[in-house]
Order: sequence, then C-alpha cells, then structure tokens
Amino acid sequence: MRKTTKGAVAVGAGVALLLGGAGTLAYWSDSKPLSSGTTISSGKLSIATKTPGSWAWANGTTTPAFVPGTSKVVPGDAVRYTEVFTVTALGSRLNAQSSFAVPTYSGSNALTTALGTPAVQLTAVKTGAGTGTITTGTNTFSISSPTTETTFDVTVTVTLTFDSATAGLSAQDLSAVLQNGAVTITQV
Amino acid sequence: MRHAPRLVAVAVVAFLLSGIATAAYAAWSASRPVASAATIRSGTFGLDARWVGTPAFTGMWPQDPRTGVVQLTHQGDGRWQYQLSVTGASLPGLTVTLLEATGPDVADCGTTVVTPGAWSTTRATGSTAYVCVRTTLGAGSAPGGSAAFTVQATARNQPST
Repeated sequence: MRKTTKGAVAVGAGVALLLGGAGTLAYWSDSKPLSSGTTISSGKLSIATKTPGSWAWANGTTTPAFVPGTSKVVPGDAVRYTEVFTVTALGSRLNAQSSFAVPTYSGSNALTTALGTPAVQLTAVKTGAGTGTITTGTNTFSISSPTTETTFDVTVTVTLTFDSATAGLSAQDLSAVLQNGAVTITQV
Repeated sequence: MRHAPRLVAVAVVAFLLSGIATAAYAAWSASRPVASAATIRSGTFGLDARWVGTPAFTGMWPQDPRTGVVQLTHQGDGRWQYQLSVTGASLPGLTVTLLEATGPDVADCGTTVVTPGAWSTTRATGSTAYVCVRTTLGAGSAPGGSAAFTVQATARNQPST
C-alpha cells in the first residue's frame, strides 16, 4: 500500500474510534409532556352604540319635535342629544376609566356664544350579570375587577341652552354647527 | 476616549428605561364617537304694534270715555309676552286705562285691567293680542286742555315650548 493510503486508513480508524467513544457518553434520559396544557386568555374592553342618538327639546313640552337644522330655537330654549352605549369589560385585574371629548362648534357667532359650551352628562349602570363594579363620578365612571364579563349601559347627554339673558335682537337667524364628541374607556 | 464605555453604558440604560416607560403607558382603550353633530338654528323675533283704525281722543268732555284698540302681533319664532306703558298723559283729570280685549272691535273690550309695565301671560307663536286704551276726563277737568300721550308696547320672547 502506498503511504497515503495507509495514512487515510489510519485516520478513518481514528474517527471510527472517536465515534465509538461518543456512544459511550449516552446516559439515561426520560421525557414527559406537561401534565396540562396552559391556555392564556385575554380579556375584553369595548364600547359600542346601543341606542342611536337623537335630539329633543330639553325643556317645556316636547311637541312639536325638535328637528336639528329645521327647528328654530329662541332664548330660553334648551335642546338635548342622548345616546346610549354598551361598555363590555372582562379582565381579572382590569381597571378602566372613562373620558369624554366635549363636542365643539365649527366656527363661532353670536348663537354659539349664546348657546355656550355644551353641557355633558354621563351616567353608567351595570346591566346583567358580571362581577365588575362601576363607580360614577362627575361625568365620569370607572370600572374595576370585571373577572367575569360585565356590561354597562352608558348614557351620554349633550345639552345646549340658549341663554335667556340674550338681549335685544341678537343671535337671531343664525346657525350653530355642533360637531361630534367622543366617549373613551381606557385601561388604567 | 477613556469615558466612551461609560457613555455607551449610560446611553444603553437610558434607552432601556425609555422603552420601559413607553411600555408602561400601553393599555387598552376603546372609543366611540358621540354622533351629536347637528346644526342648531336660531329663530327670529319681532312685534307689530298698531292702532286698529284711527282712535279719536279729541273733543272729549268729562265722563265721556273714548276708546282705541291696539293690535299686537308676534312675528318670528318662540312664544312671547307683551307689556304696555303709557307716558305723557299729563292733562289734569285725564286717566288712561288699559283693558284686555278679545278682538279688534271696541265692543270686544273687556273689563280686566292691563297693568302698565306688567308682562302678559305667555302667548302662542304668531298670535295677536288686542288691548283697549280707554281715556276719560274727570268731572273737574278744565275745558280746552290737551295732552299728547304715548302708548309704548314692548314684547319679549319666551321658550318655544
């Protein structure tokens, strides 16, 4: 045999011995699946419209109905927008707090001045089952510990009152364009 | 250059802290618009005040009442109230009395006195009110006198409903 051939055989034998040696490193081993699968479930926090909003007179008799854009308001009149939302909360340690973006006017004139800043009121009531509790404040509410799914009815009202002290003939025959507001519930 | 590693360490720590702070503000939040967008329109207001016909307060003598009828018509929106006042009736013995009326004729004058300066009851939008103006000279009035008196009508709106 040529020397190179002998060398190759020797190297191959050495590798074989090493592999055989590696086999000697094996030792007992066992494996089991975890006894139970672990499912992580997320909670829920949502708000949806329950009853579409509508406008109505807020003082005096309610007829004829108030129709935005058509009915004419005069000093002393008050009109109100009412919308009901459903808030759903679920979370073992969830706490949430409401906030409200007050609607603003698009532009300004004597009528927007006479109507002033819209008066907003939020009221929240728990509906149905659920372990969550609700705490109401001045136009705010907070939810705590809804370990089971809990729903709340949140009623939002936006009231505009035409200042009865509007003097002379000011603010007549004008339009005030009110924009949308927003109600937000945020985890805290 | 000796401080370069420290600066890098500070920068890394600051970055990590900023990341932690950012994460601390992450929270669920749900929002819905309150569809309050609407156009609110204001109305108008006006008062039309006039005599019904031409009142004749001339050639009077004691205990001879003369009556004119004032017609007040609301213009615009909302409900309204009115009040009347009389000024300038300075002739001795002359009295001017305001009386409610149900219509434009003198025969429609009632006996209920309208108190000058007092607001009427609230009236319907666009309605018309009539008030009688009755002048009387007293028994002791001197002849040949005259006075120019003014009946001032003022109206104010009331809420629509």
